[in-house]
Amino acid sequence: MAQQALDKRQPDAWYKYGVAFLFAEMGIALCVCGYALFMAFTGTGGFPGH
Amino acid sequence: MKTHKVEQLIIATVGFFWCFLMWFATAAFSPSIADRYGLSVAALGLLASSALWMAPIGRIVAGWTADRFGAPRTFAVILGVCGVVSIASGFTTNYTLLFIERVIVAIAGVSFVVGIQHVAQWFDNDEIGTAEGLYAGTGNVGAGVGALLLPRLFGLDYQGAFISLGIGALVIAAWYLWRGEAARDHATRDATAKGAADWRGTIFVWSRYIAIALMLAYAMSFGLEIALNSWLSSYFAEGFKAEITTLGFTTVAGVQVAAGTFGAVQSFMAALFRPFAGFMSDTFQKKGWTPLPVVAKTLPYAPRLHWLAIALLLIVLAMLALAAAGMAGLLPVSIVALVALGLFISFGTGGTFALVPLLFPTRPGVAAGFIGGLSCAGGIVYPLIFAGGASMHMGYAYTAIFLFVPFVLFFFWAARHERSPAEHGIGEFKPVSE
Repeated sequence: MAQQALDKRQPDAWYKYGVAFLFAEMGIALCVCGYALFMAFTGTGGFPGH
Repeated sequence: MKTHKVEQLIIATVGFFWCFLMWFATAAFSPSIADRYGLSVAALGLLASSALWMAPIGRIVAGWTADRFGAPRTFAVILGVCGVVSIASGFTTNYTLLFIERVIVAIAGVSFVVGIQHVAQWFDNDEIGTAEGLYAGTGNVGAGVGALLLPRLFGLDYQGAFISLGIGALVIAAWYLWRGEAARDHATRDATAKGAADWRGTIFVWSRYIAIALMLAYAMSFGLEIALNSWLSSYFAEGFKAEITTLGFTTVAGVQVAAGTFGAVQSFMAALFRPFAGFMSDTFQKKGWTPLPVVAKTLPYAPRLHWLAIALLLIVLAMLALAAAGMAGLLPVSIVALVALGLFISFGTGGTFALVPLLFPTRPGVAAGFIGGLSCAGGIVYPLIFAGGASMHMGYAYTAIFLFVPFVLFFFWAARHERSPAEHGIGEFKPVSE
């Protein structure tokens, strides 16, 4: 039983990739924010709308 | 059919992402549509609000349908219907008909609860937080991706975009039907399908003060998120017209690109930082932080109540900052305020659903339907307030002061009980099984 419980706590192989993906998404969000701010200052980031 | 839970997660996430993309595609092209049909600011507010009309009741119905018929079939129907109507809206030249068709396409927003149910049927408790975080965050950001990319890809051709999105929805619907499996095994599926609708339990949850407080908290966070998704493109295009023109975006297509990019920051932050908010709720719980007055301090989950209360206060402050930045005509400051608002919204959405299963452990589905469904009504009301005042910028302040401050006070009042907040509600009603 104890071994089973221990096994249950071991996350599946996909889990680490899932968590990494979540962190990557947060990085993407920050990049978009930086890009929008850059565009608000310079107006040059809007290709092809510029 | 041989499948894997990660495949089911990917199908649900792609389906939900596409639904969000379709749902807020109208908003991404609001400058084009306003230019073509000569819409006023009030009419833009109505258009933004209309995107959310189907959400409150639709989400409650969709949750039941997913339990009864399985998520794949329910999701495929939603994608199919919305896809066909989206294609039809691409050929429409009458604004009234376009308005009606886009309201129907907005049914796509109810897909959230279907995918949540689908993912929950496949993942164990020790993985469900990450799995649902991936599903909800990646799906929700469809609104931001649409605001950022659709104007760049299609320019003024919103009709071409609506047709392309509709075709994509039909393809994903077929994929969902082909590869989607409702649950990991028959036992799980049968237990869900046979779960009797307990109306007494529903009334019990709906009448609890703490459930109402959480519903209002979610209306302040997720309701605000979807309201801003449908409103911000119009807001930046109209409210910062002079500043955007000064930056060199002089054509309608250029203004649309700039407004979409600025508005997208809210969606990206609110959607993609939601799992982080759950992590912060866990951190408050582990550290036992209960810094606020009035709110209960001895409940087993009291720190999570404090974390959510802090998130709600921060949302109020960010809304006031957004109004102030707009009144001052400071575009970069407005974007910074929007980044902060998006982050605080994610704190609110993540913080709310970290509490739901703890407060209503025997009825998480009913509680989630009530809190996640009815709160969308906030998204209907806010754009009308944003567009209704003499100044577009002051709408955020009016919403914060006249709606959000009372919501926060109610939350503090409802969360003050040091023993079983769910016992307190309207009347003495209690279901037999509680």
